Amino acid sequence: MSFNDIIDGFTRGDRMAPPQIWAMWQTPDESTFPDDASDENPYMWDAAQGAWVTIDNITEPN
Amino acid sequence: MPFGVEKVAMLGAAGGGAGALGYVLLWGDPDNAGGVAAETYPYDIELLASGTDVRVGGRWGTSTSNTHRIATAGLDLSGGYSTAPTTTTGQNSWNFTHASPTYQGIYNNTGAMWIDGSDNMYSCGQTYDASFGYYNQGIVKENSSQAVQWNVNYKANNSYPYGFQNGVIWKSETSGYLGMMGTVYNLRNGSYKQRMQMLILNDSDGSATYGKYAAPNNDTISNSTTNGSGLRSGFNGDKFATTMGYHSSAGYQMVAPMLWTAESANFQNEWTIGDCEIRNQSSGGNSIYATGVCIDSSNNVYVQSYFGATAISGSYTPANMAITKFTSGGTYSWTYVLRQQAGGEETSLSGGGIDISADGNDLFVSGYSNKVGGSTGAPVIARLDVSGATPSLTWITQFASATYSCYAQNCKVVGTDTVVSFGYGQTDPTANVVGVLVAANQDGSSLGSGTVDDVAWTATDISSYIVFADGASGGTANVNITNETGSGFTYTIGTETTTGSTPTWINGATSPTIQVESGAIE
Repeated sequence: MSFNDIIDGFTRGDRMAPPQIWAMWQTPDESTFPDDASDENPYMWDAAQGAWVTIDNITEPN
Repeated sequence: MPFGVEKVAMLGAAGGGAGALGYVLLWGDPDNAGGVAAETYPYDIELLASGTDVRVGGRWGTSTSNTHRIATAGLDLSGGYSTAPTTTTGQNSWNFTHASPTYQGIYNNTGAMWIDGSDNMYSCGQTYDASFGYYNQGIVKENSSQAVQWNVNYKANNSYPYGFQNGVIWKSETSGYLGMMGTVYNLRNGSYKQRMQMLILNDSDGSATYGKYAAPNNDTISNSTTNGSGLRSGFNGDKFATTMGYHSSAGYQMVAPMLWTAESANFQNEWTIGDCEIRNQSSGGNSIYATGVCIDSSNNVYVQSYFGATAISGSYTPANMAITKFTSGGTYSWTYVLRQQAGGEETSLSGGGIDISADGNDLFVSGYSNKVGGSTGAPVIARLDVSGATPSLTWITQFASATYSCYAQNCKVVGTDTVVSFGYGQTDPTANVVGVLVAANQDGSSLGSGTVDDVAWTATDISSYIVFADGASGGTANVNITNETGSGFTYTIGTETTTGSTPTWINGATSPTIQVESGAIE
């Protein structure tokens, strides 16, 4: 779990976290961008999970 | 009579009248009178034409029904910092019907509501289109009596997930049109990327007549994108300012403000695109996020943001508040930072909102930090003198509940003697999420204590715990906020959105109704 997964006591994805915390979670981690990403297999940064995910695995936003 | 309403009157008589130094007001259903664990996130507070009445807007939901509505109501703040309102006016909420109740949610954020000079209200929020699986932007106009004039819906012109999000809205009184912007997702090189889409809407029916969007020049590089919610200022004549997040291909996120002229059929940028970015090059942090933007009568633009940097002690990486000034010509003047890292304190201090006095000499900012000596979140309000070449901190006060966390997402100057912050908190013991408004005297004298909803509150001068310093390298340990020029993005005329299917709006008072409870700071 990286530093940004817990900010001021909020664990990533906590729906009670204020927008300021969510804005930090929404910043993508480019270092983990999947090698197999392509237009046929696209990924999206999922703020709640802190991970690049495919469409089928996107978390409903807060 | 609901319990909450009765309590308002009791507290008002006990300490909310003349002589109070300030007050804290809870908004929503703090006593769980509705029995449905209501959640209220009031992200917007806008002044009406009277100058002392406000309309508060934001998300409203319950655990059992009416989830994720947008709700608004009016507050009479003519009593200044000393007398809290005891009722709300014109309560209203929206939802929309959908074939699947799962997709009846509607969400909004700071900047999603605007009140024009005739007290018409415009509000936007993201709705869900279950047919395609992405978000649209619903926009509604109401007149001053809360009668719906029109509602429209826009979507991205593709079927990619997350569609059109994070809408903010404004109206140009000089040009007469409505403006809005939000993030549109598009597919670039294997990654869903954001663009900041701006639209001009016809005030008579909400139809889109013009578009301009921001996108990175190297748009096919997966890690270069606009990012996050945009923000907008109020107007000074035909001028207004916006901010957006710009995540560069080098892997850091900047704040990208812009001064605009609202021309008859155009958003005209007044600064060179890409030359007014705010970058965090501090030790321990490389991104920075905007929380507010305002404009003064000379078209100087002030941006509030927050960023991470290694603490002065070096122990960890807390957040810090930053205030940046650009002149009307786009010249970077300064960034000053506030850190709650003195007098034995070492905690995050995040931005919330920003507003400026009518004479342009004083900035008022809100935010939140941990309660001094504690661990719960507490709103702060500060005043900065910006009349000189460099700013100075006039005062900073923290308003803390004894038992539960509260935050601040807005700051509004009301009249000549009052400043308010508005955010949300989770009450004790009902755990309902309520709006939390703090009203303070602009002179900083709102210090003391009080009781709100049976919980003790304190208003404390925390200036001795604050480091206020130049954000440039050498100003305070480990901090280095810079102005980046030549950033690789541009604004292009065009739209990546199109008309979506307009949902059926449900319009009416919230259920349960919004209550207010307050307690004086004395």
